[in-house]
Amino acid sequence: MSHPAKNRPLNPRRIGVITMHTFTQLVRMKVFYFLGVFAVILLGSNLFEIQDLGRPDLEGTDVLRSIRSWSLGTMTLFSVVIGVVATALLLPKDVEDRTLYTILAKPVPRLDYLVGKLGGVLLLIFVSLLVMDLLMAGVLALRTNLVVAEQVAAVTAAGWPAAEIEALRQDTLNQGPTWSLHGAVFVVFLRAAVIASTAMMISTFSTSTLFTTITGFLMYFIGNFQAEARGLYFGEGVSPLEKGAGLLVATIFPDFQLFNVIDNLIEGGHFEGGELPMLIALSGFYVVLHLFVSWIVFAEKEF
Amino acid sequence: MKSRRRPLFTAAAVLLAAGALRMPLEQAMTEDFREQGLLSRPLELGLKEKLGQNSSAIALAGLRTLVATFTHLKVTEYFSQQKWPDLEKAMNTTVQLAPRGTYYWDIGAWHIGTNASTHYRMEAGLPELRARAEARRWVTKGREFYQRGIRNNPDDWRLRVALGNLCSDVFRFPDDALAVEAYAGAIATGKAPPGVRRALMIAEVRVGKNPEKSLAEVRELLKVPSNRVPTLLCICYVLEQKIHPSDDPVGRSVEIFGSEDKALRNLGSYFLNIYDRLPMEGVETAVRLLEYHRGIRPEDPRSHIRQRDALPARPTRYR
Repeated sequence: MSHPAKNRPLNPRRIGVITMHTFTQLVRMKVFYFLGVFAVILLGSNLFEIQDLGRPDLEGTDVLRSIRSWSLGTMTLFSVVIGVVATALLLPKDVEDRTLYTILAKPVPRLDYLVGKLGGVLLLIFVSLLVMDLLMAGVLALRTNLVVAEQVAAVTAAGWPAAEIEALRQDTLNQGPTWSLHGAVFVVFLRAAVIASTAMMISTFSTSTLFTTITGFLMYFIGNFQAEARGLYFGEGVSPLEKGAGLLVATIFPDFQLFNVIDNLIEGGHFEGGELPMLIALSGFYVVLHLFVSWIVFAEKEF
Repeated sequence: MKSRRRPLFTAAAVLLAAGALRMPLEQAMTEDFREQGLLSRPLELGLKEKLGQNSSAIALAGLRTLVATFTHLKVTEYFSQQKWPDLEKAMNTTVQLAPRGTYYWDIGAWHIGTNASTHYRMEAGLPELRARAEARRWVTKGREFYQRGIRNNPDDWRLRVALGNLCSDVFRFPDDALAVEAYAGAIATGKAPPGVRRALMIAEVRVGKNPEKSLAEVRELLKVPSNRVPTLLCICYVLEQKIHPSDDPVGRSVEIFGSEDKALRNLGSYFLNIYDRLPMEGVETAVRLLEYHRGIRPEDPRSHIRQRDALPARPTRYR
């Protein structure tokens, strides 16, 4: 009877061990302290109550928008920074601590090592975003109920008909915690997964953490211009040089602009249908591609 | 001996090949998301200059709505200081950053079309003609702001109703044809509450829609108890008198309002509402007869006839 080779790549258990080790390593770096900062920002966003405007139908909704916008903004900043910095730190730190030699001396395929490391960073970001999402939903639910109660009292006093009061109530409830808002948090995670895998790819050929971090952030910013780069390539009346530049940017850098659907969700919009699965598929494609490229470089790297 | 650079070249080739593969797909996704309104258009160069370097960088890093929150805080500051041109600029920046935020369009148009116009007409200390011209200019800007908001959010009924209300407002240089268009658009979204049908009906009567058609629609609306509001009942009375004049106005008013008391209360208030551009056929006769039945003489201070004679030609808030 034949048994599969024990060091066959992509062994879930082995990857799980490396993932959990990386997660613990990052937790020990006090990353979760950021949740305290998030809580302060969340409470602060509650204070942005605009003065009485004399429009009972708009009263209070700005606070709900402020909570959503500040929370999602903070989540984006946190996840992008952690995605780049934590990933950029991992490989050099393992080399510095000589942990890498111990791991690679064992029958651990290098692909498993990379997948495990990235998995640890993504697990940390996922757990953090989950906690932030719950905090945001809790605060938003409380505040939405208060705003709805105030609005209903004001418009009832103003003599609004029942149907219009109900429409207003529904509109305001839509500004509270909704499934689409949780979807927006998940999109923040997907974007973080892409930027983290990008940083991992850079770190496999980079020789310094600083270079990886700076290049990672640059890739993130340039990735937000992807539509413009493609516009140059597909556009008419553009010089061949500009077309070439557009093509280069569009093919090398990930498209982070697509993840900006979050803006619309913050404004109370909803996913219509297949957008979230499309973004999941796209993020999956990027993560697999970046892992594969990282492996090509890392597989034959000598330490 | 293997070249140490070979993996790097292979990696670059894989990245480029995958990039070429995904580029048309991402282009299609971008266009699809933009069409659905999920993704905003790229920031214009002029807007980047207005925002400044730091805010532009933040906005470009996927935090447009956060920057919009900050620019909107500036709007509130300008509102408190009554710096209307600055408020307009800040509001324009805000809506360019968050074009799907109906709240920003609504509050911006309200500041510009209502608050700024009132300020110029009543408080800016301008000569009368200049004050009216400035007020009109800001009302027009407010309407245009709503219209831009509607173009960016075509399925939102609230902005259309708010535009309709602004166009119907007696103090804001009414444009009843535009109000009809706005209310009809709100109803066409399929999301507007029933009250908007009443608003549309009233706006249509103001522009002089075919009375027979209007009467049929009013009768249909009045079948729903929540639509039996005083203005609509009065319009029903006016249209009935216009199309089928009755020799017994009191009897007809009782038929529509339910009692002489209610008829006098509703028709009396309607009769005094001379600035609202509503049709008045037969109302004066009915009010005179109803007051006669109650023993109220035209000279009596309680008489609506006397109260109406005392009203100024223009609303008192007009200069």
